[in-house]
Amino acid sequence: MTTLMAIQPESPPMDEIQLAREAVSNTDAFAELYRRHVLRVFRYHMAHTGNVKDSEDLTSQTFMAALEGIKSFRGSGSFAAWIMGIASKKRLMFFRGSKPDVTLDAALHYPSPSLPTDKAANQRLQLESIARAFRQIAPDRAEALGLSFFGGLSNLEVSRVLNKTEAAVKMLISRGLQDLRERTSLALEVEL
Amino acid sequence: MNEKFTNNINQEDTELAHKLQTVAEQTNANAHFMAELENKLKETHQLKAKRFMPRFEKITLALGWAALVVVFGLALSWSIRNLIPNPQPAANITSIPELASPTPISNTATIDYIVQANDTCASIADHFGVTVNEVMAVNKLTEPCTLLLGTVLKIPVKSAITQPVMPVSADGSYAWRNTKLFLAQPLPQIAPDSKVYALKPSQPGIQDAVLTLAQRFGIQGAAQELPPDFANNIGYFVTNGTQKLEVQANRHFIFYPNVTAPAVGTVSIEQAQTIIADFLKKYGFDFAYHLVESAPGSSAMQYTIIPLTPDGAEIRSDYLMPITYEFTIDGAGQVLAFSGFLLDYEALGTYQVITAENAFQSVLANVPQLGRMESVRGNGGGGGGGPGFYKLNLSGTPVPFPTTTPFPTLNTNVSGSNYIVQAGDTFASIAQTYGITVDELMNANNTTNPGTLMVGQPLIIPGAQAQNPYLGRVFENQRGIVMVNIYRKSDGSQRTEYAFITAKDGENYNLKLAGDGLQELEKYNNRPINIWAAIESTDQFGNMTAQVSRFEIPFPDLKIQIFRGSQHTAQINGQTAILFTTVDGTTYIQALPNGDPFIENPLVGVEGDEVLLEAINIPDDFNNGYPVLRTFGASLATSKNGQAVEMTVTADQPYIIDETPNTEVSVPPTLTIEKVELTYYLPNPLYGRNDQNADAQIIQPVWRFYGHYATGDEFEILVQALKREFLLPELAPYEPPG
Repeated sequence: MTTLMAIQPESPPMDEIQLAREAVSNTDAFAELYRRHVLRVFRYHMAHTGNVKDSEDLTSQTFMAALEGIKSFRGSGSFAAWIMGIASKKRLMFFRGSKPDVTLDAALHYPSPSLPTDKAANQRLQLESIARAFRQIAPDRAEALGLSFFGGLSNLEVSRVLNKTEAAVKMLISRGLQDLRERTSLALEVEL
Repeated sequence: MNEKFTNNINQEDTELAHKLQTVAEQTNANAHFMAELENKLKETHQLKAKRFMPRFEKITLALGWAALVVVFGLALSWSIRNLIPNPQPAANITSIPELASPTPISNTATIDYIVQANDTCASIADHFGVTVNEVMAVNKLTEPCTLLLGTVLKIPVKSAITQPVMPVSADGSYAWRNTKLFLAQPLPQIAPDSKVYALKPSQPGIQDAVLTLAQRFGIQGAAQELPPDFANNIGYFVTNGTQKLEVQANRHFIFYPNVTAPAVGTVSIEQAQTIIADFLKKYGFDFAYHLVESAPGSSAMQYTIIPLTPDGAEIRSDYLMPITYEFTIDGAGQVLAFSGFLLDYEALGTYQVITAENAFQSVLANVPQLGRMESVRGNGGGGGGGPGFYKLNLSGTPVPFPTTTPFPTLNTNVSGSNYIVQAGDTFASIAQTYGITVDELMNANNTTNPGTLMVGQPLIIPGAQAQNPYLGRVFENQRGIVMVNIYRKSDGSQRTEYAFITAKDGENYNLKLAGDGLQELEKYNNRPINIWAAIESTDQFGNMTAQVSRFEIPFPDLKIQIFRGSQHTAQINGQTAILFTTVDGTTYIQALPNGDPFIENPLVGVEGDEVLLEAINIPDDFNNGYPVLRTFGASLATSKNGQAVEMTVTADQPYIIDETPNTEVSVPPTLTIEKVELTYYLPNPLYGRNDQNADAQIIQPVWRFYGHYATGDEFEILVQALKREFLLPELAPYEPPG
């Protein structure tokens, strides 16, 4: 089997490019892409914001923007890298305090979480610690860590999002981990 | 997940990385949030697909190339295509027998809709949940139902109040969302009024609340702060070492009667019933409740009760789920924890409500409308929603409702326009697309300033009847690549289609070829041909057919080959291209099959890696001085585990598509409504303390329709029950809980 675009062994399934193409006009195809990628987007936002509400807002914004821009996805590179690139931009705009440029009625009718179990509460505390620690280290390193571990991207895909070489991404991740360990108390706070 | 840091020798970094990865993998989004967002995206997508049709022809052409390459390399992609039902031709849709009852149209309210490119009577009717016949009747159209771009159509709106309830089948079912709805029981006849409750005003602060409640539970002690929650709100707790009471800032409380008790074992539900009754009595709680047999997601020690209002109804809230209290009881019968939301309310008065039959009419109405919320729960996750409820108008005078059903998100009434401005559009580009002059376009839109275009702005395209600007275009001795697709039916019959992909004057074309003698092309899949042809027709999806008067095969012996070499990006005339240097030293420019040099990210691996390309080099094909490699597939020469990759030529064979009829035709499951009851709704107890939103304080009556789909998924829908005079014709503010 030979395929043109995403041949890298780490790359996502090829059918995504066909799906993304269908998604321009086919609602179900877009929904399928959404279902495949919503968790990576949500996790990435959770790691950086540390709270559910902002993460849900940002996840909505990310996919609304993807809906607007799906026709500009040219089927080159991976869809995961493309959607995470949007997630990254949305997050930066969010923290700059600019207004969301999409209406957020997407965030309408979902209810409150029920009483959190101890485990869920612990999980949230850990995410909060991670978000705090990410803000204490160099932003590009935090970004690479977030995309890699929470966005679930390969180094190659992270390199596409950050417009850096793969080697530079490896370096960012390695330095980022070192920073987290030496400059934050994260290693102590995250207990599994 | 893959190793991100194989070079990393530091053990502690590796451990931290694994911790991060584990936290990431354990992080899940709220299933309902995901379902809601998916619905919202689908809704938006469908609206867009409709509005933005004029652009589609171009998009399809542009994207065609990316997809084309994939199609040739990859049979897998077709499995996806099979999962996604292709749009049906309009002719098939219109032949669907009408489901709905003969609703009297003459006195029905209507809304206006501007016909967009590619709309059909059927697609519009479907979109608005009405029948083609109704659309035709209201607009006085005659068979066959044909539409002109830009026409203002009146769409009948089925008002919840005026639509008659009418069984459509002999089996007693009701037509509902392309399926059937059954009522398991007759609709209840009830008293025409209901209580409305309000949360008690000026509730004490959290600190007072915790002390008041502590007193009730008999805990002596000072109120101490809990660690702040994520929104930095402070809750409090009181403890005497054995008992502990926590009240969070959102008024959720947990009472631990004995924090030192070992938690072992479980009791039966009958025992739990007695224990809970004794517990509530002991602490002076006097309200009626149901014990839920097993609440989803709860542990064996957890029991859930649903408190009832003084008139014996449940209060439902977000997700339409009832407000509950939870007990944790161990095997010795000790209550270990009692939790819930502090909810203190009193009757505000008695108000008239609509009948169950009127509420049922609202359920049956297909048009999305205010005044109802719904939810679906099943193994496939949750979903539902709806526009929400009307604002309440409990004390004021009645407010007239507009004759049309207000539905804020469906704003298609843009006077006279037939085009929505897209990002990147200019007056010149739009004028060119529709074959008119910029002046004509600007005059039609009453503007003289070419800088006034904004994304989303509706425009009037003069004379733009559904004429496709590509129709009639002529190709003479046009070089391109022929693609041969063989469609096989399950009965063994097959047909062959020939497509031609080319670029001319900066535009990409993907043409279906028609004409005599084309079968000669069958053995030249993905090889160059020259054609003389004209575009003679286009279908509703923008696919174009060209009538071929003559063709030539310039290089009958030319073969698709595997090229081994390395890729390098280069700037050529200000654009990024990929140069490919073979192992024997020839440098090519890499291109899509239509000859466009890659401009976006077509690198395989990292620049300089050894790469295999399945490609064709046409002898007279040059771009900026480089010979062109029209590329169908690519791979790294060495796989991740170090093995050499074998690549064979497959692009020279016709592409075979099995047209097995899709056996998984999606038939919506029928729905049976088992329970219809008048109950209560409170927007969100978390926000009950927010005085800015008066409706958040009100516990109002709703008609609840509860049942199951044939698939087993639970369905429920709440219909706002207060009569119209107690409602305002606008959407109640809704604060999403955090």
